[in-house]
Amino acid sequence: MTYPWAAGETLTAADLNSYAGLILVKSVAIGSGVSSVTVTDSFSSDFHSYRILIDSIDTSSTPVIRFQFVSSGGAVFYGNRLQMNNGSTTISNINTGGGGAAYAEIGVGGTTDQGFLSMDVYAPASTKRKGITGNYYGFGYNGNYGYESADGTSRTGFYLTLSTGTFNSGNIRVYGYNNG
Amino acid sequence: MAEWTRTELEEAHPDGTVNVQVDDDVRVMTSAEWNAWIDGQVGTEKLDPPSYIDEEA
Repeated sequence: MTYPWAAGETLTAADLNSYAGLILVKSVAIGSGVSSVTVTDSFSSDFHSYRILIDSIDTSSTPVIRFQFVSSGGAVFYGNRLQMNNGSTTISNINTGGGGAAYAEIGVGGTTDQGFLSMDVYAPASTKRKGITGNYYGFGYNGNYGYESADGTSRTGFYLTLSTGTFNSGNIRVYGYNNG
Repeated sequence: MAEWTRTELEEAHPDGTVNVQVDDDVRVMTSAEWNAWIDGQVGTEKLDPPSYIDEEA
């Protein structure tokens, strides 16, 4: 059946598989006093690209949030992160995680649940280079980022850490973009 | 630029209070893991929030 559907038509499984939009793949609640969060079994051949949303991020200080792919290491990130302090008109090119580092910098955490970020993940399960792009707000800082992961390993999940301190809470949701 | 010292980090995150999470499973770091974790943060920048931020929210 072809979109748009007409009144009275019966939608089949094939229709739903073809036309469903974002599909929730994984949901993880971040615990208290947590130094790292590994989210497994998120990426597969079911979807080519993914959307990750993390809200209400609460951390013990104001750290930079770092992203790595799993399983195993080997990924090298190239790219950068731009950030603006809400009380300023100056944009900083903060590139400490993007010059061939093992991780990408994807946001800033803060106390009182004041961290939020979004990320598109391009072709993480492929054996080609992968990409991530996104935006964030964290405790008065907001910014965006874009990186490529220069590796040919199919990835199944991801790993979050902080430059300093621990997570205390947050909600991670991973969605797959329907391949159509 | 202010940086974190080992003493500050140890006071903020004593051994036995730091966890590692995999999906919904959370476990306490071993002392060896905790020592390595502290070492990895010594000298990192202290990022201060903007002065306008509403911490009461």
